[in-house]
Amino acid sequence: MMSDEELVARSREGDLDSFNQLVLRWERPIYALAYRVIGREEDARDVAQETFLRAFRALGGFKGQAKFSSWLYRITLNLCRDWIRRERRTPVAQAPEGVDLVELAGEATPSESIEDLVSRREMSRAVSIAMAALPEEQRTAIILKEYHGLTFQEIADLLDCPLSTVKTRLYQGLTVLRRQLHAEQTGRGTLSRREQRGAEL
Amino acid sequence: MTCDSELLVGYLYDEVSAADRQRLERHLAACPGCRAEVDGLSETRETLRAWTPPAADLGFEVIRRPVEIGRRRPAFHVPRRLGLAAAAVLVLALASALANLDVRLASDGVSIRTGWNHAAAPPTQRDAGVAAATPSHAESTPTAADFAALTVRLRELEAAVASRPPASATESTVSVSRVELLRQVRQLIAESEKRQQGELALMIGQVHRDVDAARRADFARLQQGLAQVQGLNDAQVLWQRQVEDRLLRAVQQQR
Repeated sequence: MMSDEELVARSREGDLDSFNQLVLRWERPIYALAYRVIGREEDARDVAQETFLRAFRALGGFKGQAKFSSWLYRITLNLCRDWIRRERRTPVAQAPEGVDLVELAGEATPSESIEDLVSRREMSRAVSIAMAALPEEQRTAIILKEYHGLTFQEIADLLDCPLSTVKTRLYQGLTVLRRQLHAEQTGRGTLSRREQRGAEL
Repeated sequence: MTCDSELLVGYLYDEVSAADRQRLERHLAACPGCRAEVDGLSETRETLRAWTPPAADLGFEVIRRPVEIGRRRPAFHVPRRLGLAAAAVLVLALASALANLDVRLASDGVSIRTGWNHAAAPPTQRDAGVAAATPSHAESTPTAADFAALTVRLRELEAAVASRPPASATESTVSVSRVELLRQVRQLIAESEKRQQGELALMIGQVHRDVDAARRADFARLQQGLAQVQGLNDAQVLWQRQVEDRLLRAVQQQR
């Protein structure tokens, strides 16, 4: 399999198939990044699409000074920032209203029960709500670190800030999340104990 | 050592030097507060993994747009006069194909025939008689009319080619403006449509004549067939009457 750098070099020479291979390789991570930053499925899809269009147009100016993925991430984050500014709203935690058991059963892994899956969905929703409440710079740092595995230095380069700032944002963000998620889990535990008592009575 | 948040984060994400790791682990062993914080943040990181984006139908693909007219030169250049000559040949070939033109060189000169009837087997002596009784359009009028029309069309095309101003030597190197190019394209389309209309009228006329000729020939054959049947019937009736007369006479003689 060709590396990103090789595909980029071919794309710069006009090979459209090579660029589309890059698109295929990176569309899901880019969509996931956009979704986690802005929290809206359709808008995240638009941002991802626009990211690749801009990358294609600007390919001539990409000299390989950074990794191709980092370059894509930068374009995506800029577009997300534009979206937040344009929409004048904070990211939302988008979650389904009800729980469709049939749909859930299709999502379950072989070793996962429906109860576990419902719990995971609820946890996913709780995380998205807690993340949406974070300041943008903390949220972005955590997303890039936790879900995209970037190094501290790569995040610092991407966000144009010192290395120590990245670590501080991560620490502060994780501390807030820990508190909120702990409260969420405690509240759910209390609620389920009440439900259990009510059922026994 | 005091609790250093940057070192703690580095330890959480395994981005510390070996020396810093050993130093922090020694501290954690002696500091329950920092140990609890590291455990709590590790647990939070585990919880964060539950957040997955919804599945989306992506399948993005960058496609190349068609090149705009006038933006790029063609890979090769054909002189305009040569192009017009080729167009004239093409039109003639098309008209010939549509009219099913048949050109024959005989000892008495060149003969040109059009239409689809001439592709059938040559008429027999009996068919020739029918044809003589009913004037055949396929044999006389259509051929002459089509030949005349084609001749006129050929002369028109030759005149059009001849009337074109000669292309200058630098024409191929001068890039025409988009407006001029658009005007030329429209003119070519208009000429093409005009030609097509003329050819269509020619073809429709030919079809009409062929159908008429076929209808007349079929009608003549039908009349001939009916006459034969009628003649046969008359002969049979006459023969039956003769038999009846003979029988009647034989009966009367026996009485």
